[in-house]
Amino acid sequence: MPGIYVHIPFCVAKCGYCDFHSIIADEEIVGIYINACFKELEYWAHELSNIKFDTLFIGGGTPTVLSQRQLAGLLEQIFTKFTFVDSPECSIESNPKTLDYKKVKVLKDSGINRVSLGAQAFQNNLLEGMGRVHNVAAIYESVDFLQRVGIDNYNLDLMYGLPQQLQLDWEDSLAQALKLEPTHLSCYSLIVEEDTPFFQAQQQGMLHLPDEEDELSMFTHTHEYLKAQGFHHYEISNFARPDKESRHNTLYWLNQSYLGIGSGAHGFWGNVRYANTLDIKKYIDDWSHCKPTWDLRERITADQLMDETMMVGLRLLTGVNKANFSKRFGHALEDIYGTQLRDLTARELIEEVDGFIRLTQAGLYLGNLVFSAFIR
Amino acid sequence: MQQQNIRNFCIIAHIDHGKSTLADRILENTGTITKRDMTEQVLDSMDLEKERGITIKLQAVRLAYTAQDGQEYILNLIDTPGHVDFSYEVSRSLAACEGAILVIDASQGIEAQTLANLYLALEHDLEIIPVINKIDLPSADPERVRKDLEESVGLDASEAVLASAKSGVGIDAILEAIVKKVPAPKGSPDAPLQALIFDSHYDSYRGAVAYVRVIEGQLRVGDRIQMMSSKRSFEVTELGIFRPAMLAVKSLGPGEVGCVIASMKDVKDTRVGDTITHASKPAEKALAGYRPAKPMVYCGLYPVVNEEYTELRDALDKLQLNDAALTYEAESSIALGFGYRCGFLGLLHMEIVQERLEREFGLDLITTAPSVVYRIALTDGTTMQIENPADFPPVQTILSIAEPFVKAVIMVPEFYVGTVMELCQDKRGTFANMEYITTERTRIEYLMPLGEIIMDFFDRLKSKTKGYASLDYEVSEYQESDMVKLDILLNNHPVDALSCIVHRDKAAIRGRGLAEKLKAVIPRHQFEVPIQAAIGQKVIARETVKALRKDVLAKCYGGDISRKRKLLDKQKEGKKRMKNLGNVEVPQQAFMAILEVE
Repeated sequence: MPGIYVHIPFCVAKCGYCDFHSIIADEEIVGIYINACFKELEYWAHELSNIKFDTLFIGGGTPTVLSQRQLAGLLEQIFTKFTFVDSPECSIESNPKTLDYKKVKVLKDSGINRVSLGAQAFQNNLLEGMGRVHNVAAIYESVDFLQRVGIDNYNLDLMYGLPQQLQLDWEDSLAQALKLEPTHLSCYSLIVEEDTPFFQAQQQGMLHLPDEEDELSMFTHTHEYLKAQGFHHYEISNFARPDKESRHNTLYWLNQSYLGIGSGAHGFWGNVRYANTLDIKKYIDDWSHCKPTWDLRERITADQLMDETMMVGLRLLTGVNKANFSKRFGHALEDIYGTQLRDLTARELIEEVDGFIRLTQAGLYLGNLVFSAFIR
Repeated sequence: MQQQNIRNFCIIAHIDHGKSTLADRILENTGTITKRDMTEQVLDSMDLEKERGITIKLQAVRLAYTAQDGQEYILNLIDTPGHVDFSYEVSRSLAACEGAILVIDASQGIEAQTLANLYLALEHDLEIIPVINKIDLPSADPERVRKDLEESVGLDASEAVLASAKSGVGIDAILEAIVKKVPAPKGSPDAPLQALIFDSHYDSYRGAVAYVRVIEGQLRVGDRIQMMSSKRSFEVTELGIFRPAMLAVKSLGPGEVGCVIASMKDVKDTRVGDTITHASKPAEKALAGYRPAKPMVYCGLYPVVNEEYTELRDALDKLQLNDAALTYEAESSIALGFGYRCGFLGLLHMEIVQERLEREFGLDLITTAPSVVYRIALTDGTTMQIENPADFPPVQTILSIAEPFVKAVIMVPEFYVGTVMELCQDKRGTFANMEYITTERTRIEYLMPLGEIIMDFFDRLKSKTKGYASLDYEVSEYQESDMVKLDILLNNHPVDALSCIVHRDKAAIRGRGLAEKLKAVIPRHQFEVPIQAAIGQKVIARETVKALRKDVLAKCYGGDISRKRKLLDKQKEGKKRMKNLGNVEVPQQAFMAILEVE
């Protein structure tokens, strides 16, 4: 079943590693932006009046820089304009220091039942080095709001491979995170993207990242430790308590349809992938005339769809279900990817288990070799 | 047009002495091309020529000029290449002329190629018109150049024209000198036809187009012609002259220059150097005076994608028509599959052919390390010639190996003499001679292995002398050398396309350098990749490409699957351009790495 993604491209500050689409929030622009989103929501609602959605994800940026009133307004629009299943998953992304008790209460009362919190690390020196606006205390504070309001389904985002980060720091971050009893953990390795302050620092030799072996052992420790603590490692970077896997993200990995609302949002609907304009001002102008602009709009061919289904599906540790594949595409997986399957199996990067094609332990470390093999 | 009013001439010069600019100016002054239409250096029509600032292909243009004596003249300008690799093409165009403008840079003075081209022109009995160019540069010293011309070259330089092609100074004087000094072509319109093919190219609509200079007789549209070497005959459908765009004409008489179109389908029908005559009334013998092109440097050219093999063959077929000096024959490599062993005049020629194949024909190529032709005496008393390291015989069957040596002439300011000699010694050169031509120009002569020159000699010579040195070389003789075959093993598998033949004294250095270079360009794999350089069974250098430990995109942001796909696509694209050898993905640069090893 499809989902809805809404992008809020505003933050309190830009972090050193971030290449996501966001700017520093300005109250006036935020207000106008939300109104433009309403127009876009209205447009789609009109088109898709008889569709039931399974998930909602409000991401960013930092959606919780919005005021209580703005958040309540946005959620009200979404829930009145679209139909959802009986118990939908409705997530919002947030960062410590942008939440308070009242705001969390408003979120819960407006229908939000899952929060993804950008904790990133539990060492103040590392947080500062990343350019985060919060400290460790703020993480605890935010989680406390969630617990007090009664949102008990929450994810913590954590990062490893950070500048100056030691193996010990990472182990400590994981342990402290678990004390906060999250239902879900996303553990991302730092990727230095172009056009970020980190990239510039790296060019000048000023970025001191852990060496390859250290990063590797952080990766390995994550899997072992979280598994031992009863978490289900269900996607390369994601871990969940039983039945608490992110339904919205799983939808991406199963290559299902989703609407993307807001500037820079990506969507996949009716076999068309699209990306709304990154230009916030243009997005606002466009929707004031109800005339959307896309940075990308491509119809996905049957072959591409199969490729992408493999590419994203293999990120899930259960792998790609062969029966589902042939049901969806009318071809057996082996008929389409015989060569790739043989080659990657011989290289011990993938394996077949109970009708699923999945990454092996080695494949988990070298996923790109596997994914790219399926792009024809 | 009266035959005595025709002048055929070419321009010869050292590279960068302003030949192309002078040609432009002459076209402009004679109104052949208006200033408005003038793109810079119109004769260099290939993109590659403009980018590199060199002339590769010769072209002919007809100019109309009213001289000071009031008469109309036809001047045929035949462009010639200037680089040392292309002396064969120079000699072809010289054979179509009666005179040559010798351009010398007023500040640089006489260079190695100035002399080489001048001697070629004198061999063809051409009237030489010296032009001292770039006289408006602050560093210009025309009087010194004039003195050098007389003293060291023995040319009468008293009437040398002082010019600046860039600002148009002296162009009229040059045109007058052509009319006055260059003799009119001889030849009778009634004699049996002899027309010299000095160039040809392939046109997809018209077939093979031959550029000719009529020496004797008259060539008309509708004539039945015969190629004197192949005896094949054709009917002339079109004749043209260039001004510089093609203009159809009815006939070409003695001394005239133009092109012949005769629905020649096969590229081999217009062999450069051949003589065209009439089928009904053939000339007694073909024209002489062509030096056959002898390839000096060989390398393998392979399509990255094996399926492009036939496209490569077609492209080489077509290129050969435009480039008489290129030779090729099919070969196969265990590492690279099917390809062609190609022969070139020199390293620049090789690079240009490779670039033209990639650019004009859209091919993706792998080039193997260049090699010269070795002569190997075997213990059974026979001799073999090899230009491919893969053909290197077993060591125990080898009696001796000889390699081609060249007489290298280097002109350089005195200040750099020591540096140049050091470089030549390092490249196994033997000192032959040294002359102080002027206080600023020293002529150094070394006997050197061609195999060393084709690697990186010219580049290093240029960089070590801040660009002041100039080089010319001619093949002199074969000499015995202690050569060995250096093999490269990737992941314990020998890669035939990476083998090379080197002097024993240089094997260790080359082997180490090569292994290091390969380590830098071979991407990390799922497993460790050992790189070894070996002579026979003996490993002389080893490097290791560490195994790839982790390579996985961490996140999936907001469902941006297109971006993820593009990232992986890019990775894959890069991989496509690699060759899989013994389970190792080897990028194209690896095969050229050997060239970059000092």
